[in-house]
Amino acid sequence: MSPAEADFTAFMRAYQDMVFTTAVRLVANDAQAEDISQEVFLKAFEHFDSLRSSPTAGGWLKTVATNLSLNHLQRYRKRWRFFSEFQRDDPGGGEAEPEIEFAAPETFFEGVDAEDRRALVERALETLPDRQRIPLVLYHFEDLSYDEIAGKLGVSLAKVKTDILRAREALAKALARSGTSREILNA
Amino acid sequence: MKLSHQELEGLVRRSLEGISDRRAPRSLEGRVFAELQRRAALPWWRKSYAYWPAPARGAFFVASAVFAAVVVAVLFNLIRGTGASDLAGAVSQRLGWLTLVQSLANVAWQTGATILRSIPPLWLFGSLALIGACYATVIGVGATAYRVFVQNPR
Repeated sequence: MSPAEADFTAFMRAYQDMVFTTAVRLVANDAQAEDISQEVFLKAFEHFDSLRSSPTAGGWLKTVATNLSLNHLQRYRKRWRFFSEFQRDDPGGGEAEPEIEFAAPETFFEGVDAEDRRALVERALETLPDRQRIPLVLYHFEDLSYDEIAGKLGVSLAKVKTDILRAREALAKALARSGTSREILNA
Repeated sequence: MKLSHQELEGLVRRSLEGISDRRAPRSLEGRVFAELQRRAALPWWRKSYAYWPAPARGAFFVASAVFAAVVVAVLFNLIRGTGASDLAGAVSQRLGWLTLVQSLANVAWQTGATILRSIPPLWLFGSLALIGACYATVIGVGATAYRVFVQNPR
């Protein structure tokens, strides 16, 4: 293995979990996330001379992974939008209080170890429809603002807010249903 | 107790904070290097322009410029030169069959228009409405079946 390859291998090993996680949270499909991660690192290799010593390499990889995942989803969505997304969102529903009633705990995972927490969240995210999961992930994991999400997804600010609110409700219900928080939630 | 928007956001935020990354598949590293090797093995002329060797890029640039100059010069001479009218005559002679095609299209258009005018409007619009309704029904049934049996099979 050449020194350049060894450097790139070390670079990949440092960031591959982060890149794969970013992709899989957005597309909710392991095989597609692996394809996207591969594409991210192929692009990284093209820019490796500047990335290898850059302190912002992680941010660059995360941005590329996010954009490639969104491109992938947009392509898929255009193909299937009519069939899968033609139910209307309730336009007035976004302002109503969430329909979740339980004692407010500190988190959903008191007494749950880190690996189980991760698995529970991944499973719960997979149950959300794309239109809820994607803005939720961009907001809570990628730290994008509502405006940035609306711009990236090409939808209105109001829709982003409504979708994220619905996604939080659905995620809360899914996590409550998962059983780990039954002791603290009276869902 | 009912959670407010802010309480729900805080709960979700706290719950998602510090969630660890998933381990990438073991196959990812091998796939990336295999693809890099495949790309490296490609001959330079099958890669994108940015990867061409400098002499090839230079030669391609010069050849493109020469080609563009020749095209411009030929067009200029055709337009300005004395042979322009001769050329126009030769071209129109060779494309004379287009006149016949135009005449046939005109006849077909006139015939179609006459037939359309002879059909009562009620029949015409009724047929169009029926075709539209059939089309909408097929798409609607297909979309509903997809959502019921494929997307949400439970």
